[in-house]
Amino acid sequence: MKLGSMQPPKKYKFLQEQVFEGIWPFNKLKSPVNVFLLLLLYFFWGLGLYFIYEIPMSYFIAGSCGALGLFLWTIGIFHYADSLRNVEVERITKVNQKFLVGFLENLFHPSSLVISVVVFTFVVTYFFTSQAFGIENFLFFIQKEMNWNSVPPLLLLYVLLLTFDLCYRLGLSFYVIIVQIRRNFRLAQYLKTPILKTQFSSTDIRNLEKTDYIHYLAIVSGFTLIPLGLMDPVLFVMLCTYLVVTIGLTTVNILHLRLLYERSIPDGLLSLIRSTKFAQVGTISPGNFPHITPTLFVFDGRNFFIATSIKSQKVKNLHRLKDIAIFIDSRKDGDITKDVGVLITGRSRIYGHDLHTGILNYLIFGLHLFRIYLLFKKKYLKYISEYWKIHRRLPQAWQLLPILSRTFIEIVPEQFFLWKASRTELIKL
Amino acid sequence: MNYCGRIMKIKCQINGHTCVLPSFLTRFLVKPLFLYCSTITPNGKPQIQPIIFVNELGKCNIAFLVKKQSSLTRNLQKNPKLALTTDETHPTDPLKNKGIMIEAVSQLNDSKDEVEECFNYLRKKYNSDIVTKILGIDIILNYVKIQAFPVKIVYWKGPFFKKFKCNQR
Repeated sequence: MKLGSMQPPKKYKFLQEQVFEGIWPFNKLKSPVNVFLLLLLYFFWGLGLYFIYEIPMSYFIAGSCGALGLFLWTIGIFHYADSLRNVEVERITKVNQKFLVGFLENLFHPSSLVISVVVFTFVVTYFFTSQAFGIENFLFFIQKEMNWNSVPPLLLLYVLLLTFDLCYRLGLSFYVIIVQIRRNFRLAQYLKTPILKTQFSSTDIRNLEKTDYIHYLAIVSGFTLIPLGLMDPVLFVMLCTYLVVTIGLTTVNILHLRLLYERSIPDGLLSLIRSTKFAQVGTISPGNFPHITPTLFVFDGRNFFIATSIKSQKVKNLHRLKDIAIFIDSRKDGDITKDVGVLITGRSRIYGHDLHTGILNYLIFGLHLFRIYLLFKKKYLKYISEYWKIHRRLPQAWQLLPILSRTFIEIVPEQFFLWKASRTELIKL
Repeated sequence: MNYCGRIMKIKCQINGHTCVLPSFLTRFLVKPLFLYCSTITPNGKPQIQPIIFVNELGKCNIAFLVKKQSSLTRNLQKNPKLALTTDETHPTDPLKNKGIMIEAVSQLNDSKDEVEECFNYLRKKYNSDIVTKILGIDIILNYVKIQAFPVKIVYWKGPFFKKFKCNQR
């Protein structure tokens, strides 16, 4: 079920989306084309001002960068809203519906405009009153430079409109971050309660995290506004502060959500995953035959990792098709009817399937791979030391030589299923 | 009969070749209580699930029961190919790991007689209590029998993987 369809009569949309739907020709086009049209409008308007009033090139470039930032930010915000509306929710219960609908209601609430209006009012007040406090802003600079008595109305309109559009996005993003923080704290409260915790799927939390990354990128696109900020030292400081604060808060927010993802995995399964030494890994061979082998694995609280030979069938299969399944079970020797397991299906990532890709991956993800190695070493200390003693006697494909013969495969979970020997069917978590 | 776990000679026909499986492979078809069964879902993703099984008298054909409405049945109806594996892992010595993987093609059979026969064999191998606890009641009505016919057998000892070759015509 899609998150956005939980309350069908109501459309979850940001104000900007609604504005685009109501104004010709934007309503005739779809995103990102309508947003690109906005960029073109600002660009040609700026170009016209450059030729009509012969303003310095630096102002024209700054204005164009502002329009570009506006374009990227809008694309990001629209994409964020769209992906959030389309997030697939595993199963709907009264508890998670209340939580998720509450999040959407807050996010798309008209009060999101309040911060934008405050920011805009502050900036415009600065434009027109700063001289009274002995600070010359860029409007006064250009007026002085061009020997104008007052700023031409067309240029002023351009500046005010661009300022409003930018302030709206800056304010909206800040509002989104506040709503995300509230969402995370509410989610943390739910996950602390064992009964409520079962109502949340870790896949849903991961999907929310993915959408948060889109908003993160939208904020990062704010760096294209730097040339515009350079026109005015006060605005530059304000912009830099905004970017540092929002990027910082969003980073903390995403890290918090990642932590909550691990907490959302049922405690019993988490201890099964941590205590089990071997897992069965399934891939798909050419000819559409399933392939399954036991393997060592580690879990970093988020993804699973296996170590294997670059010549193995698993690597060949995963190089062709990234779909993977990993099954972890308790393998009880006594009463087999009490055996439980967990099946995780997802996508894989090979950290090098030959010499070249191996070197490249170690150069880019060296620290990450070292961390995975340490996790293996911690879990399989004795096993690795035994292997180390004999590995020189083995064929090169099975020696413990990173890049040359061994590689790591990361498994990004998409779905968790519980298996109980006493119930033949898998239960989706 | 080998349903009770006794090791005996198993004759296999793989890709038109017939041969007797060596005992180190045979015991993997008889001794384990579970086999890990991997199938492919209708949307092309691998799925793994342990199964209780029997192997038919003197053959390397593996039989097990699954619910008619289960995902495993749906997967095998769409794509009859499956892989089965079982292993003996050692917690500290990598050279002592042994295992077998069988690539097989399955046949679904919902005839009441076949399901009942397989159920009885399962009861002989495990015991009635265990089979009832795992499969539940109303077996005959709700289950189908799956027979897996091997097309390829791979086995390993430590890090050495080998494909079992069937040479006789």
